[in-house]
Amino acid sequence: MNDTPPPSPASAADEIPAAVALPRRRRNLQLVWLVPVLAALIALVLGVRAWVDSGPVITIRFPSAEGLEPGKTRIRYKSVDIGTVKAVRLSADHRAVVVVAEMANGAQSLLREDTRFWVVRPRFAGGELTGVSTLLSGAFIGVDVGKSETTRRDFTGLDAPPSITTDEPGREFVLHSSDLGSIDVGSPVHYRRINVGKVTAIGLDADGRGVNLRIFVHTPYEGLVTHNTRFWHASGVDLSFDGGGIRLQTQSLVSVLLGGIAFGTPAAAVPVAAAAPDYVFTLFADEARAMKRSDSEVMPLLAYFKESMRGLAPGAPVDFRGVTVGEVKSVEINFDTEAREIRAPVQMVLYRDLIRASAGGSGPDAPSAEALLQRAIARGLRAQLRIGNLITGQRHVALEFARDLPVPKPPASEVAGAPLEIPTLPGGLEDLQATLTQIAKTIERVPFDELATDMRAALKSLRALLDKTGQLPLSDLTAELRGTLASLDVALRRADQVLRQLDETLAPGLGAAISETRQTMKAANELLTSDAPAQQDLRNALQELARAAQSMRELTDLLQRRPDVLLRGRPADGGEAGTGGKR
Amino acid sequence: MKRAPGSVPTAAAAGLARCHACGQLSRLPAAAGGAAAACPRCGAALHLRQPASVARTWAYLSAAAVLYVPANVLPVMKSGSLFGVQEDTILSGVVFLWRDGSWFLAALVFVASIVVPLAKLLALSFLLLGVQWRSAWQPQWRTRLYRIIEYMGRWSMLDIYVVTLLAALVQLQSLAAIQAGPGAVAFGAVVVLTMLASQSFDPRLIWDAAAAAPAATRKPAPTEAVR
Repeated sequence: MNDTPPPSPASAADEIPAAVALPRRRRNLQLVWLVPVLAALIALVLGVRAWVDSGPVITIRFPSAEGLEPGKTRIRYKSVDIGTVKAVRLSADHRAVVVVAEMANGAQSLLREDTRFWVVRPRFAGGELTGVSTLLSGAFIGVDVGKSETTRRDFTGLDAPPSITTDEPGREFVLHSSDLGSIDVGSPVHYRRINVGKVTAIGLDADGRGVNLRIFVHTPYEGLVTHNTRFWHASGVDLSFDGGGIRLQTQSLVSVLLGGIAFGTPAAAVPVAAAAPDYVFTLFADEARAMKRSDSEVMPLLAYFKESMRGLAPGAPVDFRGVTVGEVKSVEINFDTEAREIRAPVQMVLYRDLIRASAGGSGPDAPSAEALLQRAIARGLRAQLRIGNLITGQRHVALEFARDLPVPKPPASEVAGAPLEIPTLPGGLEDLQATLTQIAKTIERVPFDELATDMRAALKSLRALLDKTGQLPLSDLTAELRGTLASLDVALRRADQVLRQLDETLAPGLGAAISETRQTMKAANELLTSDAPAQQDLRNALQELARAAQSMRELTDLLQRRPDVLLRGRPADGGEAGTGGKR
Repeated sequence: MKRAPGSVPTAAAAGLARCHACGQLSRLPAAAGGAAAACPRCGAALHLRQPASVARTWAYLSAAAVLYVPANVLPVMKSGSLFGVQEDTILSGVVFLWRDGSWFLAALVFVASIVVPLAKLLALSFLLLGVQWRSAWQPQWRTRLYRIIEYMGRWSMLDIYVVTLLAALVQLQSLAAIQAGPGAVAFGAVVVLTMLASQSFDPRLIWDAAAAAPAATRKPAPTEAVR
């Protein structure tokens, strides 16, 4: 409002200078309307960009919304933000939490049928501490992009992070076991104690009779798993106590603490192809059991024992002269109605390759193990229970040839598929016992009483004889013979009596002795005659000795002149011949 | 001097104009129906009313209205830290403050950044429509509304100042960094455009309409100014 004073318009107006007239310009209008156009353009660009940037909206079901904040929690794939949680709400049945997340533009290709989501929180699994950074930053949702071609928008989140992501190079296999042991998801898988993979999932069978484990073997190692690879529990410390003694097996410290799985492949004649993904293996309780032969490599064998089976357990070795050629499968007791006795059928298996190798051939045209064994049984091969470990009393079955036995009846069981039956021998101790009993019985048969009676009678007569001999007054007799002729008659008579008695008892021996003496005297006579062979020999011997002495002298002469002959040998020109001196 | 509107003699009616630059009062050429004039002292252009005030205001106002949408939808601030990037719109900032317990701050930011620009847009539209329809309704009240709008407009820049300050200060490389988002540009544009709009609006037009209302044929001048 201009302050023109209204009372005196005329006079004041005259003093006001006139404005300078300008030519008309018309441009303001057009220029100013550029502003809203520009603004609209900018808004359009921003809007389009926002629309283009916005990605698909997905829902993920989680058991709990712990740590999830709408508008803040990120969805990350390989640590790259690919989305944000927009809302968290309960599912219709109130059992789960539905997370609504807006993904970044371009994330469509990540949302596949088998894409997995999980909440990353700090957790300790498989010996590793993961998600530590989320302690400060708060939880985020991890993603593992699947491989399926179909896409989806509603997902169910995992309870725990998958231990293996889809794009990790390697191969997954399935293990079947009766017992989980101390294995958990994330437990290591070892090959020759090198960590080559881990357990990715565990679960019960559909019928609940066993446990299925999924393991993942990382890339450079997956070729080690072949169709005949064996897996076993490598958990903790394995202390076994069997016929072979005490065995202690451990794996790496992590396995000892957390449990683990190990695998190995028995040496095979022909290379076996690597196993395909998801190939199902059996998980054995320990390495020894895992590495046992498969059915195609073993031959069943049956033996009936009649003695105590104490100490014989399934798994006990079957050996032949100390070499393990098989193992015991089962030990039972049944009643043989024919023989009306209780016997223990023992099922065994023998390793075919060992039997055939022992027969000297494993080629295709070599006789089968069954044929070899039948031949051996016909030649007297027997099974016998033996004590393997005296302390524990563990026993094993030994196969042994027993030649001095009657040839057994040919094996009765000729039913196809029935195991070959091998006759048995009493065990080592039983054998000893039987022998001892036999000896005792023989000894028992000796008529010790009669023997003693006879002996005593013999001794008595001997003593009588001696008494008689001692009573003879021989010295008196000679004295009387020399002293008094008077008593000669008596003496002679007595002597005659004595002589008669002596004649009865001593004359034969005396005669022999006399003849012997005569022979001796004769021999001595021969010896002493000058041309007796002994004389001759002696003379010869003396001559030899003289010669030897001469040789010795020559040798000492030689040594005195040339002591080095001892070391260097006799020089060729040194003429002397020491025939016997070289000693 | 209190008089009924319409009976007051105005400078425009007397053919007088005051220079906007130097304040020199001068008489417009008598027959200057549509001719422009210049100040005899300083040579600046002379107008009885702001030239094309309504059209300009409309233009600025529509531009501001268009940009108001992205300003509120798009993030104003991107704060990146070790643990991820966070984008905040104006409204999410208000929500954050409110949840944080800073109700006063939340209310302040809400009023300054959301209510005021919106109120300005609506009020200016209301005033413009009033002028265009030559409404004589409550010119005094409408003028007061205009004053309030002009005064409050500058406070809308609060948010922009905060963002600019933070973006300049918090640049700790990977540890933490704050950047202005596209919404900040739009929001700044909204504030500037509404200020321009309120500046280009000539409140005298309100009174011109009010004066013309009782006797519509009295003055042709405002019509010419609107043009």
